[in-house]
Formats: sequence, C-alpha cells, structure tokens
Amino acid sequence: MREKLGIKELQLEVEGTVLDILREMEKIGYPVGDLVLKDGKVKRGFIILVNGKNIVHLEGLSTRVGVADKVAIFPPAGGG
Amino acid sequence: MIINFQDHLAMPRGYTGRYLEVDLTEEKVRVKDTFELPLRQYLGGKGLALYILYRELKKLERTMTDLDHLDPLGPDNVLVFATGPATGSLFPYSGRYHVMALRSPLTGYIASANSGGDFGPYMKFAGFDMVVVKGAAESPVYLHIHDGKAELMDARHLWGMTTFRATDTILEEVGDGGRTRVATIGPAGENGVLFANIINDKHRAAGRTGVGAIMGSKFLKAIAATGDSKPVEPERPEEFREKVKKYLDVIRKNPVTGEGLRKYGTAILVNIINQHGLYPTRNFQTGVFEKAEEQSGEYMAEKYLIRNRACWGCPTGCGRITKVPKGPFQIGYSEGPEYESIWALGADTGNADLESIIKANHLCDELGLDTISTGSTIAAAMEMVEKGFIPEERLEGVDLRFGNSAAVVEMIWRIAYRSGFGDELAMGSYRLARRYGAEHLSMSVKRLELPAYDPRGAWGHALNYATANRGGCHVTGYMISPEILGIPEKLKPLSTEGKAKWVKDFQDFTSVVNSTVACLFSTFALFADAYADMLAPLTGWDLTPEELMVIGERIYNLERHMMVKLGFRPEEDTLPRRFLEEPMPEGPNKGSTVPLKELLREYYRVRGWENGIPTEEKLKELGIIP
Repeated sequence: MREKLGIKELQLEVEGTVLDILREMEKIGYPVGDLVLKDGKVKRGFIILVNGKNIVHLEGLSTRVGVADKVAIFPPAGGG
Repeated sequence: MIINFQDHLAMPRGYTGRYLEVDLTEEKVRVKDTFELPLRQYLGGKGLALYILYRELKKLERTMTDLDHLDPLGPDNVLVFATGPATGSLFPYSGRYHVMALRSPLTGYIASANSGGDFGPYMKFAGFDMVVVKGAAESPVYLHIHDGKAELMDARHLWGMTTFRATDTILEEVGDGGRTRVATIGPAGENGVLFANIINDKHRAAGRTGVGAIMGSKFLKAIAATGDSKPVEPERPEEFREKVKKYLDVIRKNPVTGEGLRKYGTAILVNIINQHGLYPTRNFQTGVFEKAEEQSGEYMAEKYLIRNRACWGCPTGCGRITKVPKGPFQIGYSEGPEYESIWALGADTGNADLESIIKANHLCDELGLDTISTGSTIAAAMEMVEKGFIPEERLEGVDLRFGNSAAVVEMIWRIAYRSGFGDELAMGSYRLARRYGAEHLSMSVKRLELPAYDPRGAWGHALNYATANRGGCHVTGYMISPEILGIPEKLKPLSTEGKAKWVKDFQDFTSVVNSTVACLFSTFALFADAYADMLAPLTGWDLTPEELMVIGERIYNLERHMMVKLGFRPEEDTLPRRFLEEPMPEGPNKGSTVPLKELLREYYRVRGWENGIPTEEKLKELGIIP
C-alpha cells in the first residue's frame, strides 16, 4: 500500500467515521478507498485499526475517530 | 470408532514403500517396508514418525526400569526424518519434511521440528519415505541416500565445519550434477547446544526443540539425498491434476498466499503485530516496540531485499534473499530473516539495528542455532542482568543489556562454541534462569521459549502456547490467524468465547498438515476440504475432511500420550507468571492478563482430557490403545 500511495504515514486534522477519513484521504489525493474497500465494505483480509483495535470489534466503518486517534491500515498478511 | 487397520485395496500412492532404519552403533543400514505401517491412520510426516517412535518407546518401557533414564543425548534416543504422501508431488506447498525424536534435550518431551527448502522431496526422490536413526556412531559419519540405497560415509573431516562449508564439501564429494540436497548440523549441534537445529539447503531450518543436538550426539553430521526431481505419481492423475489446478487458483486469488506473503515475506507481521500491541519487547516486558518500523518487512524490502525465493513446489515464494552491502554487519548473500527471527534477535533483545539482526540470523543458519530460542535466551539473560540476578563478572566483559546489538552477535558465536558465558546460555533460558534464581524470567513453556506474540494480546493463542505438545510453540495451533489476521474469520482476541474449540481444531488440522507434509502457510487459503480433495486422488483413499480431522486428533493425542509416559505433569500446561499476573503495561492490550484457568478447563473438556492427560476412553476411541 505504501508503494501504491507513495506515503507511509499521514497526519489529518479531521474528525468523523473511519469511512469519512478514507474519503478525506481520497480528496487530498490518496485513493485508499479503491485499495481497501469493495462495495462499501472492507475487503477480505484488510485490517483497519483504531488505536490498535480492529474496527470489526468496534463499529466497523462507522467507528468514530477524533484528531487524537491513530488509524492503522494493513493489507492482507500472513506469517508464522 | 472402528479402525480398519490395513485399509489398502492396493498400495496407496504417494509413498515409495521403503523407509530406512540406520543403526549407528552397529554401523548398519536396513531397508524396511513402509506398507507394514498404519498409513491411513497416521498418514506420514509427523504422524508416521510418531507411530515409529511410539513403537520404540514401548520397547524401551520393557527394557528400562524408568524412562527418566532415557538420555536425549544418548544412544537410546531415536531420531526420525519423515516425508508424507504429498511430499515431492504436485500437491501445492509439498516441499517440506518433519523431524521427530523420542526426547528433546531442551524440553524433555517429544522433539519435533519442520523445515522447507528442497531436502524433503529429495529424500523421496532418493527412494525413501523416512529415515529412522538409532544408536550412536563412534566417530562422525554422514548418510548418503540414493536409488533406494544408503551408505554411511566418514565425516571426520566435516566435523567442526559450519553448515555452509559442510554442505558445499558434501556436494563436492557425493553431489551428482545438481541432483543432491543436504541437511546438516553446525558446530552448535556438534557441541550439544540444547537448542541447536538442523539446517538444510543452507538457509532452511528444522529449528526447534534441539533436534540438532540429538543428531550431534549420534555423531551424525549430515544426510545427503540424491535423486531426480520428478513429481511423485498420483493414483488418479486426471482427477488429481484437476483438483490441484482448482486449488492453485484459490491460492492465487487469496490476498495472502497470492500476493502478500510473496511481496514482504513473514516480516510483514512486524508492524501488524506491533500495532496490535503484542510485539514482545525486551523479554516480553511489554507488547510495543518503539523502533518496530526499523525492523519491519516494509523497511527490509526497501533497504536489504534482493528478491523472494520459493521452496520446492511452492506457488507463493515467501522466502527472502537479502544483502547487507556495507558496515560492521556486512553480508553478501543471505536468506531471511523471517518474522520470528527478526523479533527474537530484534525487539526481544531491545535491538533496533536491522543490519545486526540480518547478520545474527545469518550466523544462526551458519552455526546451526534455533533463532527463537537463541534470541529469547539472550533476552532472558539481559533481563536477569538488568535486575541483578547475574553478577557482572560472569559476563566476562560483555555488556549484555537490552539494545546492545553487537552483544547479540557476539553471544551467538559464544553459544555455538559454548565459550565463556555462552556455555551457560547454551542450556536455554529455563535452565539459565533457574541457575540464577530467576525462573520467572524465562519466557518458556515446557522449557521451550515462546515465539513472537505476547499471549496477553491474544487469549486463544495463549491457550495454544500453554497446551502445545512440543512446548511454547506458535505453529502448533496458530491462533494469530483468526484472532489478529482475521483468517478464516475474525475473532475477538481478548475474549475466551469459543477459543478452546478453535485451538483444538487448529492443533488437529496442523497435525494433518505436518503429516501430509505441506507448508503451514497453505492454511491461509486451503482447509481440510482442500486437503481431502487432493489427498484422495493422490493416494487412492476416499478421504473426507472429517476423516482427516480425526487423523489429526489421533496424532495430537498420541503425542500427548507419549509425553505422559515421558514424565509430563499437568501443571506444565501453563504460562510464565508474567502473563498471568503482570497486566500488559501499555498499548491496545493495556491491563490484560491471560484467564488461563478458564481457557484450560474448556480446552480439556473439548479434548476429552482430564488434567491435560487423554482419558483411556479417548485413546481407545482413536485406536491408540486397544
């Protein structure tokens, strides 16, 4: 993802749902949505964390994020 | 359950039909018949090796007054190298082999290790399903297998050589135009380091539980296998080919096996596990390493990766070829490091210098040391030094503190050659910690050092750590997959709900994978139905996924049953005190301790065990006892 987007980390001064954040990133030139979403849902295997917790266990894409929160996005991965 | 003891209509395919028994004391090799073994009940690989070892254990029970006297580094220990019916066939990911022994010098229970590369298939191409090694030679030898025959060769000139040099020398001596592969021990195995490993194809490791030390104690330096790399013939070729094609497509389309693993290797997990707050740092004192980014898969790919590489028959290719171009840790060519190795030689020792980690990993391959136990033992020593348990004089001038990358590299040499303080580290973290009155600082279960996931961050994985037969092991039942990665489905990590059944199923299925023998990473895309779908036309047996899971359960229970005979005590299904009593200090799992009692209770219930011991009823049900 870093390769495709050209960045490692991004500081945003916005608040909203995780979906809002993804849209905001698209607005400023980082098409994360295309990479991470399919039919409005997170693609299988992709991991979105808010402060280290997977949004699947929070409110999914409707999870609210504030300026002090940390969002981490990972593509599908495996290992041992 | 009724067991059809010999269910062969004809001989099942996938096997050569021959296994080798080597008696090093008598300097004799004997070819034996694989088809006399209960193949359908134990499959091959780990399962079949276990069956052979069980036979040997029962023999020893009759002659030894007390199995406590079975010395893991003595001639009575038995070491088995095993392939399975899929090894060397077009079954995807079939380029692996399994190594087992009656008793591990590190844990005291069943020794078990698994490795990739090319060596496994070449054992089969040489004509053998397994090699069983008994006794001990009087002076160093190596075994050469080829054309269904075997010779013991003089290895006195090889003794003392690193794994790289020994491999090259053996290939010069008996290598036949690229048709030969070698599995060897290094100085660590020769010197009886309790966590010494076996290295094949120079950079692949049958890593854990000290199988290298067992091989060294028998004066067996190496095994060379020569044969033609021709895929094994299935019973129903058209059906097999069709199923393989179907599942190769599944593998290709799966984001982990089709792309993720190839691009970044297992090292991709560094940032993921760290962001989830369970990346064990400084001997598991916390789950967040402030410098994780600098040892991540992304960082490694950017700075040190040359390209990926694949084991025999692998459609993914998660291996790394790396290089450190300059500096004190320069290396021209290396393979790895894997996630576990990065962690053990990195965050676990507080080490943020990736170049030193690559070097340390390289040395572990060269000298024949398990990276996980090596890093974790050094980390335990570091915490013991920090907290005043080890007096400075014992370190003989080495500043063994968290973050000292040069000290990590130095101690690897010292461990392999049992030099100075390295001689004490060579016994592993448990014995080291006991010696200095700091048993609580060894992060081990059943004396096997825990791998790269803090159990306080994933309770199912914690249960697996506590109950894995070979000791503190992640791959026995890799619960990180559902709990963190969301494969096959996402479970809540800090919850006990349903975890016991998941752990049992993962442990049972993994036993099948290790008996097939195939790579565990296949399970990011393939499950029991895929395995049955391909094993059936390969062998000719009408295997179902349900039967495979029973085979897995049988193998797991037999292993546990043998552990009991070897002296297993129920209280050993546990975790270091740190995870039960010290809440995770920071990060997303802050405040977590592992509710082990509750998890264990449910686990024993679903397993049909009492206090960690399979009941007689369960053993009968699985056909392990009559």
